[in-house]
Amino acid sequence: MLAEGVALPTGESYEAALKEISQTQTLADLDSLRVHWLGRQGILTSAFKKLGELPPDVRKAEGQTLNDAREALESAIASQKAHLEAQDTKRRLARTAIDVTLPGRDAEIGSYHPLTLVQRTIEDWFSRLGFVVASGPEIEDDFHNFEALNIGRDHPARAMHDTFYVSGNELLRTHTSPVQIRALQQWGPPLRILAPGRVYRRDSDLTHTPMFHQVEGLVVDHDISWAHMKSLLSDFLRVFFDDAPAVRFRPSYFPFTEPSAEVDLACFFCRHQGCRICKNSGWIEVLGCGLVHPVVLQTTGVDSQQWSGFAFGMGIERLAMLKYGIRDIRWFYENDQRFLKPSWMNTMVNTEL
Amino acid sequence: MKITRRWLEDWVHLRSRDRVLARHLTEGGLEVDAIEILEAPFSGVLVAQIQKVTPHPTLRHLAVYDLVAGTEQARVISGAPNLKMGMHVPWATIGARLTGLPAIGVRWFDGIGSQGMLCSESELTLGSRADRILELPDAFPVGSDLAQTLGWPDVLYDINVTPNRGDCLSALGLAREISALENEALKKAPALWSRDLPAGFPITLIAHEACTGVAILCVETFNNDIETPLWMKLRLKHVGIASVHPVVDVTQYVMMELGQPTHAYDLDRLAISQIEVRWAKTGESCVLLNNQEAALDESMLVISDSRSVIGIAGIMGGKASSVHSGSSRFMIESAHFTPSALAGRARRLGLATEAAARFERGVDPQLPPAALERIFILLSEIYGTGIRFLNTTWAGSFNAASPSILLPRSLCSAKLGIQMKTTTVQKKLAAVGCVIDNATDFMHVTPPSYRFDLTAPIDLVEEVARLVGYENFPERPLQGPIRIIPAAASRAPARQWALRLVCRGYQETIHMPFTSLALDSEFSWNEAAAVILQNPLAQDQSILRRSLWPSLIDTLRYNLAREQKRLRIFEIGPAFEQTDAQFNEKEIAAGLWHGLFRDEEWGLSSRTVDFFDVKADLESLLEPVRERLRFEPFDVPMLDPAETAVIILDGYHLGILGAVHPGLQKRWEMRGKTYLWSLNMIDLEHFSKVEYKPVARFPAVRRDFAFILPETVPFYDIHQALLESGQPLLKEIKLFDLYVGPPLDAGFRSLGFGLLFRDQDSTLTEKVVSELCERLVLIVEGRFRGKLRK
Repeated sequence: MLAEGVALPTGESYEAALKEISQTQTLADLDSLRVHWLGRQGILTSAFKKLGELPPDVRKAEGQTLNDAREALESAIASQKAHLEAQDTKRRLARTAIDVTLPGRDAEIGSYHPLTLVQRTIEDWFSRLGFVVASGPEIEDDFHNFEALNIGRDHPARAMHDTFYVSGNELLRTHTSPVQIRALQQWGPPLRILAPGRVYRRDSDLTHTPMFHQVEGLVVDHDISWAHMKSLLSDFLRVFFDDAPAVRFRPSYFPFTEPSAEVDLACFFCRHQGCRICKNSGWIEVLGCGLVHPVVLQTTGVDSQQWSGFAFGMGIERLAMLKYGIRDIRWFYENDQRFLKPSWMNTMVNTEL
Repeated sequence: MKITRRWLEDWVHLRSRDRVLARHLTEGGLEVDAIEILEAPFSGVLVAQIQKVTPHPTLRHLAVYDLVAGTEQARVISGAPNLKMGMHVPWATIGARLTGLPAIGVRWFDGIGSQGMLCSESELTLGSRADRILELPDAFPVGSDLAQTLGWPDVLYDINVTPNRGDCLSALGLAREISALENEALKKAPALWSRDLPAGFPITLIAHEACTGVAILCVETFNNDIETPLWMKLRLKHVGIASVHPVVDVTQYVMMELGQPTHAYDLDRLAISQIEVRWAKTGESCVLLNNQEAALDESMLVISDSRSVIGIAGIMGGKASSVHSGSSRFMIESAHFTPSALAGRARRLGLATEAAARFERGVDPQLPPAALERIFILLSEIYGTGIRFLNTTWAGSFNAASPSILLPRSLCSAKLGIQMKTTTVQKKLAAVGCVIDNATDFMHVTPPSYRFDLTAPIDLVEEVARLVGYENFPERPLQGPIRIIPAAASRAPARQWALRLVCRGYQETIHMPFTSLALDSEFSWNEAAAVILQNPLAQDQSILRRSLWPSLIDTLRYNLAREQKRLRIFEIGPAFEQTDAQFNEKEIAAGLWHGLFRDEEWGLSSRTVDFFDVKADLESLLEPVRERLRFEPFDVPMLDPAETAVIILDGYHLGILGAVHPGLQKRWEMRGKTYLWSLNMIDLEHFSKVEYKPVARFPAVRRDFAFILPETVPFYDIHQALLESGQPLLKEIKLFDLYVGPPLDAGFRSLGFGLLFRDQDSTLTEKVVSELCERLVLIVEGRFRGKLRK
């Protein structure tokens, strides 16, 4: 159907040309094909030149045919060119590819001490429930540390608080409970406070360090009952230990609360079967609590007929050991950076402001 | 408090097995710390009777004994000197096991076989005597298993009794508790004093507020060979008490059984025209049973005879009046001392005795006569006809009753958060021995004399709660309005600083504040004295740190000793000091950097850390006030004076940073420089309010100048001079280069400043900028002897 009038040179055909274009491997080959067909001396260019020699009645149809052929070739060349160029770029980039498995550079980041992580987790949880984080001095006086908490000078419970003294009347606080007294004196009820901090006891062995950390909590309001305390602390423990172990409240004794309880968790080392860590009881003690003793309220000038409350205290080291499987309390204070460094990062989420 | 199952069973039927009983006790408030199964140290030993004795035909030092033990008969050979016809003896049968010996078999003595053996106290590990066969009481049934007869096997419970429950420090007290918890009636009540004896010597109760009653029983024994019965020795041994003398053992036994401590004196060693219970006089002293000489004062309650102090009341008796193996006349004292009279006294003397532990926590004031009755009975059993009860004297009264408590009917429900039926409350209180008298709104509750811990309504609420069981109370979420309290001590600054430091690569550490005065003095630059502990754990932990640096240095050395070469740590914690009698504690943030600037890193070179790396950490911590900070050279003993600065904000000394002094470095054998810093925790919000300004719309112009300056001119001075003189157009000065070396003369350096100018209201013209720059160059050249580098 092509070129009745303008004959192509022997051996050339459009179909062959199109096929050849699509098979070129280099831009140079493509360009020489373009020159061969469409260049100044190209086959098609020469054919256009011969149009004028044709009779007018054929010329128009013949011109149309040549135009179609040129467009087909040009478009084939353009698309093949884009294809080859893309291939070329790809090949060139492949040669400059980096090893993405090399380590990133200068990724230094520090870490929090595990006790800080646990303390903040506790602070944040209780803060969401309206607890104010309060603090008090670490050098306390006898009144706040003992007397006001219903632990008189000769109370047998004092024997359990081996105390460091710095003067006749001043000592390193043996618990965070004196913050209760200070808070009640300063703000009065209603009150929800949380007091984390360092405490000191004159005791050093496999399971005791002379300094450790506690968190004290206090709620005083109208009509506060045991049921509120049980609910709050059970919820906390279930959230803090994500596998929600069973919780047991067991009667105990603290001079500043009554009734008092110690709270146990089902031992997760032995799945409640009894092991060395839980002393074969199947339970691990994690905190102490109780309704604030009326004497404590009265000492701080709070009317115990009108107000009631509960208090709780827990050891941060103990919670950290249980949560993270740390077997020796002394590791916290050796500050060996190989111990401090690893794997605390995943909990950093909790520690922003 | 240790007690055996069989001892408890004397008083109450134990329905539950050990683990269940332990759980009931624990959930009732008496935590069972341990359960130990007690097995006899021997087996296969029978109680046998000697039927016939014949001398051994050839071996003259031995004899042949025909034994009967129930249906069994046997012949054994022994050389023991004390064997007689009809005697009850322990016979280790064939196959018996004794501790430390091979299984018992037939043993041949020149043609005659011994079917097993007769045992000494020592072979049965029941005592130390090895020179004779143990003679068993006639009451032991012939043919019975000796281990069983002596009360094996048994179970030992170790119970953690809280300080408020002194009443539970005895078999009787625990039995009462089990009776209440398991709803099982007591088998018996302790017998009351029922003897009619003549009155003895007078007792004067001077300190009657401290001792409400004292009863004395005097006895005489006629046989010093009598020993404490085996069963009693064993019970005492199981609960941790060593056998001393039958009379003393009986007093100990009664204390463990009833809870009443008593004391036995050698009557012949007393001057007994008069016995007094009184406060000691300052200057008096007493050598105690443990040979300790106790210096006494007016806070110590004592028992004295007409000559001297014979014992510290309720704590320990005196050596001079103590019972010994030759004693034959005894005075037994059974008294009630109030907790307040004894509390803390034993601890002050450095003593911890069973008696003191009980009196401090409280003992039933009605108990002393019952204890004497029990002692009377036990001594009669042990000595039989070998004892005479001489006389008894009482002073004071043993009738003190507990006052009744008004318990509002609604109190239990209100405190426990559950509707509590009146009948439940009554039932539970009755279970612990309270007598209840009902009124409309109140119950009048009278606790028994042994529940002296029950004095207020809330005490009764606790009794009800623990008997109902804590697991039976509901949970109810906290409700009600939340009160907003402006937090006095905001943790926010400490949290912010910690976060920044961690993000910059610091590891947080936590240290105990104990240190030695020597180390602390090395690191303190203020004049306040250190806080000294009156009772430190160790000499090198005898004071509280005044600076955090001793802690950080300790940790550095700890880690260096463990192949850690680089350390970048901080702590935010307290430091303590003392001015006059005033103790101060301040919160400090402090850090230490030792080793490389950055860890080995491919494609980056590293170097050791220097002053400016650490300074950058502090500048980033103090970023909001960075422009106002001044760093001035500073001289403190522990830091290298060439590389130390004090950090000043608005005239206030915020802290110090610097390199550890080369001398100290050498002394501690630390290779490479260590930088220390310390900042007082401040709330930067007090110093700087956040303020936003509009961004300038007009382009800035930058001009760079390099000056050759004497090295002694601080960068800060030039920086400030340029900034002041360049106002208001000079917005920013950047130090882009610092060069020392040829071709510059020694003592000079080249500083390259990039100055950025901008006008808030218009585009700057070349002319304005050039004129200003000329002026600034003149200032540097004139004021600081600088030379512009062309």
